[in-house]
Amino acid sequence: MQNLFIRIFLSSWVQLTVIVILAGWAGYYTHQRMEQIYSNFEIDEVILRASEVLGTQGITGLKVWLENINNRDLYPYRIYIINQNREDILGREIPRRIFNWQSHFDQPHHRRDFIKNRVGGGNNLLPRNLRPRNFVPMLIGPNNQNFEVYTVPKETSFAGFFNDNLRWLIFMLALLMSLFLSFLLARWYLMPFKHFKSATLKIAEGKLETRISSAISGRKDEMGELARDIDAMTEKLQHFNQNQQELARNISHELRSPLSRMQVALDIAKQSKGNNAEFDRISKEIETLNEMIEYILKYSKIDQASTEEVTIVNIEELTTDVINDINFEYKNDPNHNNEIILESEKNILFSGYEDGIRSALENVIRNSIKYSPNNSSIQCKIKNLSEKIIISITDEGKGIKDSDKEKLFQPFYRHPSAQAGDSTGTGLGLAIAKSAIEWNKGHIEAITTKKDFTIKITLPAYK
Amino acid sequence: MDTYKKILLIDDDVELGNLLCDFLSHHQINLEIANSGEDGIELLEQHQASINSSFDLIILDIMLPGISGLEVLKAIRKKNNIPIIMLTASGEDHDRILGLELGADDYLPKPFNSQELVARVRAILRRSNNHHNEKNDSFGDIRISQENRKAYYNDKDLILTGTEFEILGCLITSQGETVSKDKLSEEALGRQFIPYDRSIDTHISNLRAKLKNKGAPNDLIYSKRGIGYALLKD
Repeated sequence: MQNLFIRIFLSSWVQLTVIVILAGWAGYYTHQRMEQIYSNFEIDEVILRASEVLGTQGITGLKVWLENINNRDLYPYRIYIINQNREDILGREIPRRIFNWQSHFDQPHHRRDFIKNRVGGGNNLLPRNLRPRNFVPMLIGPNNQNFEVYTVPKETSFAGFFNDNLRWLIFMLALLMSLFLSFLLARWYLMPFKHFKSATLKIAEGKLETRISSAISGRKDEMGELARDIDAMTEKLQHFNQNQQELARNISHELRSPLSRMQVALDIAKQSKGNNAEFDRISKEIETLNEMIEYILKYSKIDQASTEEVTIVNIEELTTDVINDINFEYKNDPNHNNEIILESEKNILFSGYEDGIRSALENVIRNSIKYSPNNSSIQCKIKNLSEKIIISITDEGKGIKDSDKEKLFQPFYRHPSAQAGDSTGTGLGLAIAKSAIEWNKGHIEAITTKKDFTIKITLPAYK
Repeated sequence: MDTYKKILLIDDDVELGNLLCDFLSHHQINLEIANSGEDGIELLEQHQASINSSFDLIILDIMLPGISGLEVLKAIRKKNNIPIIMLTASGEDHDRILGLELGADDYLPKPFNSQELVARVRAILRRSNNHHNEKNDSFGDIRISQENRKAYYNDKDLILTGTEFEILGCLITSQGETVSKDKLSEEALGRQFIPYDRSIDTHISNLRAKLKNKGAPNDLIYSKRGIGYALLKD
């Protein structure tokens, strides 16, 4: 059974067949019982005998006769003879359904006279003390008492089903077997989904080398096909991803080659013509171009980072590191003489992509230095709340309008108030920060107040 | 000591090679150029045969057509301890880290300032010619021999590259006191420490791996975050 369609088709068919057979059998059983009941009304011999006994031996004789029948279990049914007070002449408890039948059979369309037909052509031949009344034969006693004769099939009901120990055992066995079989079947149906689930999760995490079809041992049905299709898709993705990385590397290489030549040529020119302002300018622009290439690469790389690069990061140490680097970078720059003050608890741990967080912090703090007045300080506060880590970097810069807040994190957005001479930025710093923070399931926002400007980074706390 | 140095540049960028050749000739450096890894290895072997014309240093581009720069690096390092400076244009950290792990002495990202290149070349050449007159030094189970520039852990040769040797020497000289990254950079790479530069950290982790290989405890060299590195005192 290779085909899932056939399998599902067959199994539901089998189920339906079983149900149909069961229902049919139940219907048949009921019908048989009804038939039995109906036919019991034609009961001839016994009723004729009863009328005879009543005629010859009176009520007492009838009782003895009935007692006898009752005890000796001669017939597959019980006979109740009920007097006008609706009591059995033997004083037995009368099955309630007898009265239900009675009202049922009293309906006009049921009024057919079986006894008349059965016993042979006409009322004439019936004993005089026997009278078909509707369905239920009636005996007339010596004092004109009426006795109705009911025949009720003996209980062969479902309750008796389990009386037999062997049958009980077989039933339990069947129950267990079917339980076991349906368990196997269901597991067999659903097993591939477990693999699909774990594999697709891995793929979503960026582990594109994940393959499914080997795990579900080469099933040839639609599941197997689906697995192979997903594998093909993942392979395409992997290929695409590799191409993308290759492309980024190539672009970087191709753009940097002419830049390198430009730089060396410039150095030769400087050597022979001496230094001048234009050369410095060219040099600076080469640097900016190079930086932009690096940032674009970084920006495209953060999205492609896989969860394998997740490590436990000590945020306080990382920030100290970043601040040291930045202090070093700006230590000889008289235009950006800013003190960075770090205020943090020790040992704040975070599980994430360290390079990403490092880039984000670097870019945000550098941005602060760039846009805050010279000789002002920059506050870097790290708080560890139970659910999240909040890093806020506050400078005394002018900040931006609320309407520009979102744009701030878009690639190549430039602050309108950026000083005209200061065009060194790449416009990618905060975009990288946002992308890195969001990769780490965090959130970054800008808050402007009258006196300062804050970038607030929220990261989920490590547990 | 010759005033003229002989350097092999392995880079597929022909124009860049010519420009560099021009620039470096003003700095007493003779540049020979190979445009592929295969050519580079061949040229190196030819020259290595005669003592007079052997190269003093190799500048190796990581991104090469044919066999990659990293492969070339591996092939050269198998037989040869010649100083190697890598050039990278890809900007990928792992290229750089892998290069340093495979035994390159220093690296320079493209585009680079030619003066910077000259400075680094000089620093490395000075260092490898610098036969320290200090007596052989040791710390715990580590012993270094300045004469043949080898380091031993429990008398087992650690087989270090030039830069790793310098870093270890520097740590041993301080005898367990913390050495700042600035100092390590100046002593071992012959240049100032640049922020965001992790090459010292990479060299240190190579050193750790090599020491561990010979049975040393993992924290023999431990880091003081934000400050530097030190050897663990007993």
